[in-house]
Parts: sequence; structure tokens; C-alpha cells
Amino acid sequence: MLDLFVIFGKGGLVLWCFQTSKDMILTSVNALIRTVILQERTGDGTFEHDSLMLQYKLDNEFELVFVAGYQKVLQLSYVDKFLDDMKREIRDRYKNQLLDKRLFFQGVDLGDLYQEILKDAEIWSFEVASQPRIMRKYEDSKKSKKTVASMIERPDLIDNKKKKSEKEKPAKSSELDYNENGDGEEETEEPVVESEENAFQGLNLPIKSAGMKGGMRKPTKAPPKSPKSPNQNAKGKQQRQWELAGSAKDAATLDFSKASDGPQVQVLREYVPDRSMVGKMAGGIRALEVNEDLKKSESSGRVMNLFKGLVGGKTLTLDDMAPSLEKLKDHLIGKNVASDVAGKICDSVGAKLNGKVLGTFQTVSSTVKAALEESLLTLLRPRRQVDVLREALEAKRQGRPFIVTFCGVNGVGKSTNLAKICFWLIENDMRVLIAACDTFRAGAVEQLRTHVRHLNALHPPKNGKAFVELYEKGYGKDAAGVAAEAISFAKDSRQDIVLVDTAGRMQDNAPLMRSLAKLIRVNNPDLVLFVGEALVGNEAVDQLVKFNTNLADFSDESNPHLIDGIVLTKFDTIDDKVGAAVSMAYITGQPIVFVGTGQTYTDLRSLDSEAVVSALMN
Amino acid sequence: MIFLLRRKTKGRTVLLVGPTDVGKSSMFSQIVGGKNIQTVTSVTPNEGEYIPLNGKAALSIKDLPGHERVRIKFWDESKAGSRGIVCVVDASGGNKAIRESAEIIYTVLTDPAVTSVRPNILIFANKQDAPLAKAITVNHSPNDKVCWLNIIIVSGKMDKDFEFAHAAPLKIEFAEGSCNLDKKELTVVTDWLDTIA
Repeated sequence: MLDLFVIFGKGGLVLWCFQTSKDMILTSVNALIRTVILQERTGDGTFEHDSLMLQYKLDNEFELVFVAGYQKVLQLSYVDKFLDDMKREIRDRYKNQLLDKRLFFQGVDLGDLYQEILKDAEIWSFEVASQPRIMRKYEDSKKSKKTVASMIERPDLIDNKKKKSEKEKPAKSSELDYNENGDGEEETEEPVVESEENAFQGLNLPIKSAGMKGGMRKPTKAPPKSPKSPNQNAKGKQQRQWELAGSAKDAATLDFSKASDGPQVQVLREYVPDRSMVGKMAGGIRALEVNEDLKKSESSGRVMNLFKGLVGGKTLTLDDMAPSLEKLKDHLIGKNVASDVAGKICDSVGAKLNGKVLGTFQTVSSTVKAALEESLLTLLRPRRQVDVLREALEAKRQGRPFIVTFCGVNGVGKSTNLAKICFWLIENDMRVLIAACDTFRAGAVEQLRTHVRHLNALHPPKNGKAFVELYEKGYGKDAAGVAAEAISFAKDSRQDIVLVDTAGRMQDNAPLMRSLAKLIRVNNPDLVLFVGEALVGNEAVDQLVKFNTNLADFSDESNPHLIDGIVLTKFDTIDDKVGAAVSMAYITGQPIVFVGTGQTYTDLRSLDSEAVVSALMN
Repeated sequence: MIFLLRRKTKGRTVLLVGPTDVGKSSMFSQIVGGKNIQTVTSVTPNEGEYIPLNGKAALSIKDLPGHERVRIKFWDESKAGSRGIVCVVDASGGNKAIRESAEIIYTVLTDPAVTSVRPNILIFANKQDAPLAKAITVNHSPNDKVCWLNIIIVSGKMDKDFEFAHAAPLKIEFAEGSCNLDKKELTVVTDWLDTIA
């Protein structure tokens, strides 16, 4: 039995609604819209919310959405067919009125139609369930597709094969034919075998028989004896003379050791600050620079818009769009978007365009490309533009420090970008405390201390109070404890912002994930930023998914604090292969707050979604 | 053809803008259709016609979705050449909702398309039927600030409080009401529409 059935237009007006319970089921529908449609995940067809399973279908011709909801524990098989039938019936009956929008205000009573179609669908599902299962034909089975060659097992190559298949599994999609898989592995076998044989050649392997000493050693020639020069031999060894050598007189000038005779004291060189940096980062962060010729021209679009409404054309089906979607998916993967993210985005674009009517001046590929661009723009659109500053001001007004935590895997640039963000904040007149909660990596605390010194040299203390301070407790301590103490110290000394630097950790390392979740749970930061490098490819999916699930699982709370934003680093190292931004934004649904483009303090930008999308689509 | 493409004069469109879940689509349904229909979160804009009661030509009402992901896109598409803009605010939402609305109002008032064409602007505090709704109090001081909105609006770039006096050449009016079924409290909006038609 269906708990809920709603038909509504994409503009938000509900055409007809049926619900069995009186409470606000529309909250589930709103959650569906927000999570799925607005985040470009429309490919799937189902969505779970609380205990309700929602199945939906889009009608792109009349801009309608059909949603059916039922209890998750029931597994109703007829809902798909029911939605299809409803969609067809509505379209047939109200075709003329739907284009007009008057229908929404007149109101329709679909009660009888609903009951009728629901009953038909239920009966159909009983019939299907009661039929015996048909056996597969031989042609459908996997065995018919195997070749004889791939089934021969060679024992010495099994280990190689196993290692290869483990490495190749995540990369290859599941649609690969077994035949192809077999062929691909055979080709790579030979060079492996060859290299192994070569590897054994140079070694001197002892052979069992006791008789032959040294075994299969290659005959080596005795080195030729050099002719003796009589004079040298007679006098004995002479000290070799080098030209250009200095004499003992030069020793004094060449001596660089320090005059002090105590233990070596590390003298810190005077840091001469680069004053040109001061003042460059005041105010909001600049957006990424756009390549001028990549910017699209707008005028051509408007002329086409005039003609668009005039003529009716063909309706788009999934088959029509399949080749262009494939091509675009490969193009995206070539630009370093994670492969399953690219697949899902293309599916979502396909679902959104399925059934849409084309104007005669539009081609299928151009429509698909335009729709994909729009989806990517929606995905990357920044939601928290200058929010960090504004929320920090708000927290300041409430009398508490604004806490930002940086987390990520090893080596992505957390400490470097923390220093850059700190520079930006002090340029905007904020007082920052850096909490050195990386108590593991050698040199982490010293690195932050050096940054603090540099930053204070660039911005001398005002009113006797330094702009940046470091709170550290050395190495080996519990990170969560250090963070808690840092925050209470900040509150006492009225610092505005606390930036917490954590140790890099792999997403698979459960104890480290647990300690990160504990740090976040105990200290309750305002902003949890995941730092990811732009060079990462398919790994991005794994990292982000695992970070989020681990933060949720290990936090023991009903409302865990997940990743709030992403910092994309090392953006200057990728040319136009900017796909990592899309993968990360898609997986988390969170905005990219900062982009790091270098290693100096001014190399901090905000994400310009149009620039990134134009770089992607070129 | 040329002046169809470059519309720097006011057209006959009135836009409904605001954050998500403030009641724009409900207002739209009541203005255009006369009935209050149940609504869900909008994904695309709603367009309809409103015929003023004083016999002037019809106005085209466009209700833009408020969800942050699509709000900017539709705003950029529709902002040129509008006759009037209604900024809807959820008066019962609490500080955070008011801040979000304030951000949108700031974007609207400082957008060059708005400052050049100078449409009429109405700031409407919706959901007055909810318990904790705040009413608009217009402080008729020389600067003409609005008390509760002013404290919250902090312009992102300048960190100063934004004053409505800064937007001087624009005609801004304030109103409050609710879309609740039983009470016909949107007459203030329809009256405003009649005046600007």
C-alpha cells in the first residue's frame, strides 16, 4: 500500500496529492527535491528518507514530477509500473491543459484514476510473482562467452593474475565482457614473465652439487695487469698533487665554523618579510582568473532563444542521447573527474532531458552539452562566498571564538593552506590562534611556529597584542585534548578565530579516523574543512566517502558533524584538468570554500564556477 | 529587433525573490490563481499573469526558486528589465533566516541591472500568522532605516551596516502579511501591484 502519492510541477505547485497519514509527509518530498534534483543525482529513481522509500519519475515535457512513497520495509515491485501508467494517463487526459498551468488552479480530482491504476499495478505484480522462473538460455549465460584460452590455468602465472586482477578491479567497470578481461590479462602476462626471467640472470645461484664450488659462475677474465713504471715503484708512494688545490694558507678564509666553542646553537636567520604581500588579501578572496578566450559569448544564445519557441521538433529519448552522453562522459574522465561521478552526472542529465521536446534549431548534442554545463554550474556554485568572515564576525559578537578544523590525508597541504588562510584573516583585522594538533608528524609544530613568526613579521602586533599566536603542546599528546585547551585559551584571551591543524591520515585507518571523530565531537568546531589536492583522481571519491562515513559512525551522535566545506589545493599544478573539483563537490554536496594556487601567502583564491566549467567543457 | 534584445526600460514583469521556504510559490498561486495551493520546493520558475483591478494592462509575475543552488542562476536570467521586485522575508524564521534574506536583499539592491533600471521594490514580511513572527517597524529617522533588518545586514565587502539610504534612488516599500488560507491578507501586495502596473 502506498503511503503517499504526489504530482507536482517543477515550479513547486502541487497538482494532486494523496496521503494516508495526516502528518507532514511533504517534508520527505522536499528532502527528495533538495537532495536529488537540486544536486543532480536524478539518475537513480529512488530515495530514502526516514522510514519512507520514495520512488519518482520526471516528465520533462510538461515539467511534472511524480512521486510515490511507501514504507521502506515493504518491498513493492509494482511501484515502477504504477508510476509509468499514471504518467501516461495524465499525459493523455490533460495534455492540452498542462501546458497552460491553469490546471493547477482549477484543481483535478484524480482519486478514482489513482485507485484504478493502483489496483491494476497490484494485480500485475501478483501475476508476475506467481509465474515460475524461466531458465536462462545458453546464450545468456556467462559460460558461452568464455574463450578456451582464458580457461587454461598455468600455476606459475596464477599469482601474477591475482595481483593484476586486484589492481584492475576498481578501474574497470563491471560491464566489461569476460572475453575482454581474459584477453587483456593475457597481453600483460608476457612482459611480466620475461622480466622475471631476466631478473634471474645476473645472480650467482648456488647449485646443489657439492662438487662444483661457486656453481654457475660466468667465467670472468683476470683483470689485465698494468705495466709497472720503474721509477714510481722504487721511490715508494708519493703524495698526489692536485692542481687548483689550495695551500694551508687558505684554510683561514675557508673556515665557516662558528667561533663559539660550545655545542652547536642553531641561529635563526633574520626573516626579512616581503612587505609587498601586505594588503593584497584584504577583503574578500579573489576568484580564479578566467582565460579570456574561454568565456562564452552571450549574444548568440539570445537570437536562438527567439526562434526556440516557434517550431516544435522531435522528442528526446535516452537512445538518442546515449552517444553524446558517452562522449561527454569520456571527455569528463579525461579531465580528471572520477569515473563513477562522471557516470552519475551523465545519467542525471539524461534523466532530466528524457522526453523533452527539441526546437528544430537545436541538435541533440548541443542540447545535451548545454544541459551538462548547467548541471555542472549548479554543482559548483558557491554557497558560502564570504561566509567565513561573516560567520566569524557573528561569533565574535556572541563572545566566542570561531573554530575551523582542517582534516585530510597525508601531504595535501593542510598546514600550508592553514597559513594562507591565516594571512587572509589577519589582513581582515582578525586575531587568530593556531592550534597545533598535529602531534605526530616530525617538524609539524616547528613548521607552524615558523609560519607564525613570518605572519607576525608581516603584520606587527597592534596594541601590544600579536595578530597570530600558536598554541602547542609538543609531540605525542592527544590531539583532542590539545584542541580543547587551545579553544578555552582563545576564549580567555579573546581571540577571534581558532584554526586547528590536524595530522594527515589515510581514510582506511580506523583508529586515526576514530581519533579525528573524537576531536570533532569533543570540540564542536563551527567549520570542518576537508583539504584535498586537485591532482587526485578516482581516489577523491574513496577519500571523501570514507571520511564522511567514519565521521558519522565514530561520533556516537544522532546528528554528527560532517564535512562542511572543501579546500582544493595545488591548483596551479593542474593545467585544465580541473575535474577533481567536480568529483569532490558532487560526493559531499558541500561547496569548495578555498582554492590554493601556490606556496606563498597570497596564493589563495575562491572558486569561480564558470571558469572551472569552461575549462572542463573545452 | 535591436531594442528587443537590449531592454533597458522597465518591462511588465514582477519578480518574487527570497530564500527557500518563505512562501513565494504560495504567494504566486494566490496572486495569479486566487487560491492558496499546497506547494513544495521549486526547481524552476513559475510564470503567470496578474490582471490589475484598476484596468491597467496585465503584469507578468515570475516566481523564482529560492534554493541556493539555483537562485543565482534564475536571478541572473530574469533580472533585466523588471518592473517590480518583491523580496519576501520569512518573519518567523529567527535570526539566521533573516540574515539570509538580508543577503538576498543586499544582492538585489546593489545589482547593476537593478540600479540602472530602478524597478519598484517591495519588502514583504511573510508568515505573520506564525507565533514568533516579527513585524516591520519602519523607523522614520532621517536615514529611514528599518530596525531589525538593519542590525543584521552586514555587507560582505565593507563590513559596515548597510543603510537603505544608500539605495536612495530606488523606491522601496515595506509590507507584511500572510498567505494563510482563511485570511485574505495579501491585498496589500495586490494593491501595490495595482499601483505599479
